[in-house]
Amino acid sequence: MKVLIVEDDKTTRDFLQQALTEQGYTVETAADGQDGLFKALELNFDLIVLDRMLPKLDGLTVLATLRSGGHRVPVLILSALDSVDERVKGLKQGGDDYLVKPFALAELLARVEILGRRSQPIVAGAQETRIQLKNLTLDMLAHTLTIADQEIEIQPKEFKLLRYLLEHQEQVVSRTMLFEAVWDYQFDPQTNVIDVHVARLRKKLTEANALVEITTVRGVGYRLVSQ
Amino acid sequence: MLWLKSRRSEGWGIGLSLNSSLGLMFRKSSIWRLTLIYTALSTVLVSLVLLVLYYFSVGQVVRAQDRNFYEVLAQHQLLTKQLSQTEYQLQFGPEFQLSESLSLTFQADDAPVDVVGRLSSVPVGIAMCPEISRFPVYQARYDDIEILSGCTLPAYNGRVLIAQNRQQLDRWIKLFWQTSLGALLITLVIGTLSGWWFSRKLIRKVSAVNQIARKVEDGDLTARISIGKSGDEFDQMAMHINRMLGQLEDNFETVRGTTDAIAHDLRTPLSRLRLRLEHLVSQETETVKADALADVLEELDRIILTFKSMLELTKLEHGLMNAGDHPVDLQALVSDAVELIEPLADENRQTITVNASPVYVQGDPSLLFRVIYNLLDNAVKYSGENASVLVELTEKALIIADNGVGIAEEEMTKAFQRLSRLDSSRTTPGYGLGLPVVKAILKLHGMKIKMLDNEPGLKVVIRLPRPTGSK
Repeated sequence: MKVLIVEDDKTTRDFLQQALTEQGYTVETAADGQDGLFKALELNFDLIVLDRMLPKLDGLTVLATLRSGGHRVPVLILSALDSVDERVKGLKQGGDDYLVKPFALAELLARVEILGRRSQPIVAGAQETRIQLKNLTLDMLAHTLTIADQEIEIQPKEFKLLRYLLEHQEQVVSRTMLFEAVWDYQFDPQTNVIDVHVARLRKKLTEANALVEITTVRGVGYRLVSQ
Repeated sequence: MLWLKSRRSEGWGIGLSLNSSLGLMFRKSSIWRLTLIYTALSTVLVSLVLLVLYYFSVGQVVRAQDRNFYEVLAQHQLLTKQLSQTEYQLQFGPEFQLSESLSLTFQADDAPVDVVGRLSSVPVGIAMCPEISRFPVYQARYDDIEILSGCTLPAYNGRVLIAQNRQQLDRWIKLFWQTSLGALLITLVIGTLSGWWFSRKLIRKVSAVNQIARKVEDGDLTARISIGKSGDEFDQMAMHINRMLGQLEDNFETVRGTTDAIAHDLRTPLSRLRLRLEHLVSQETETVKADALADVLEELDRIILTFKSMLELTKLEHGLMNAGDHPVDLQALVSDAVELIEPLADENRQTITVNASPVYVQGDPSLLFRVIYNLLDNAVKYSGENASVLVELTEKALIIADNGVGIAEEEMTKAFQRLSRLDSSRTTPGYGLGLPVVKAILKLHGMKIKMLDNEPGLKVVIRLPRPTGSK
């Protein structure tokens, strides 16, 4: 998968390049908006990591130009501006995700992975009304969870949480991503509250003998894997 | 040596007293300047009034008499040229005798005894007309001496004297000017006194303001001007200045609070971080344990979080953030926040009861969610095990009450100030900014927050603005 990093700070750029290369991505870099836009239009990328404030051409302008040209490549915006307004502005211009500096590298990798998958041809199951993994079935229409043919009582937020984890099975998802997906507020609860929710769900799955496990990824978040 | 020293100290003494009396001198000189202006103005005014009065009273009489005198003078000047001496004497002889207001006399030079008129002779040395001379005359009828003013006309071989008695008029004029002088003197005295009194009052008020201004200049922001009871312009000015000083002091406090907050909330963890890193560097091992680095990372994350909150709080407090005008379903926010916090409450064996009616407000859902979540988080964190938390939402207010240990009344107001982390929560990072952020967000939405004693426990009341209509 090919990723373009448009970032003017050399240290950040080099670290991102190194980390993404280690994850198996093919990485191209640009140090300013003009170069970034040129490369994005010239080459075919699966994902662009775009800094918001860039020399020569502002990040949002690059994004707007790309989108007006019909390019649908997923874009992850990096920004030092973190107010809700700025976030909305970035997403309105066609950004697919917004990450505020300073960020954890693991968080960025998790988001890059999920955005990257989005650009891949739609995998089977994504549009289905039910998700099945091993002995676990989540029915999106009936809002029910079945584990080993037994219907398990599940609360609405737990349902959303499990659904998000299932939709991104085998991928690392961060606490913030989980919070934003399930609660849909722009806010960092700053506590271990998400962990407690995941722990609850995990306990429920274990008690029902699900052949599915939520593992903790240190310093980042969680990953749902099948046993 | 001793002599020199004492001289020197004397010099210092003078210098000091000069400096300290400079302000007083300035004050005095302005008092006198104002007094002088005031007195001069009133004197000029009174003088003008007197002049006008003179012109229309005594002046009028003087002018009438003068006119009469000069008319007669002109008449006789003409007649002495046109008529012969005999004709003249014949025609005017009786008139000369009878005239009361004017004394007309003719005396021939060559025959000094040939005198026609009121006077026994025309005295020597009387000026030629129109120059006027004054001379004494004995009035046999009253056995008195009159002073006449008049002049002579050369006629035929002699002189005609035309004179009038202006004694009465002169007395009037004298009396008038004497009275006027008295009036002016009284004006001067009263003017000076009242001017001095008014100026002193004025200068005192101004210098009171000056003194306070100097105090503020020297850094004492708590100085305030005392306000009189009259409510005049000076009192209003004092009130405005005091209010301005109050705002200035508040701003200073905010700046001071912010710097203190930065010092406390950032310096302490930064120095901890530095110590940790220094320790790692000083360990002479090639490899560093991942655990040790994870601790460092955690510390750094806390610093970033604190920094973020500070920036945010500053933005919120200075209105750089927009509340937005989306309709926000508070009921949904409450239930979402409760759902989020519930597992934490479960861990403390606390129960959360929600009693919410559908309420919509305008604003930013994420910011308002944070307010509710932060308050619930505080309740869960500080009310203790087995406590119960009640969340009540009505059109008027959102109330979050617990029956835990509560906080002391004097700490309730402090809780909303930056960095006034309460003693009981001193060990919780980031909390010092939690409630100030809550307050700032609510202020942005036109809502007010208050802490009350729930007897036992803490009750937090958020007053909601008038509903925009429920859907």
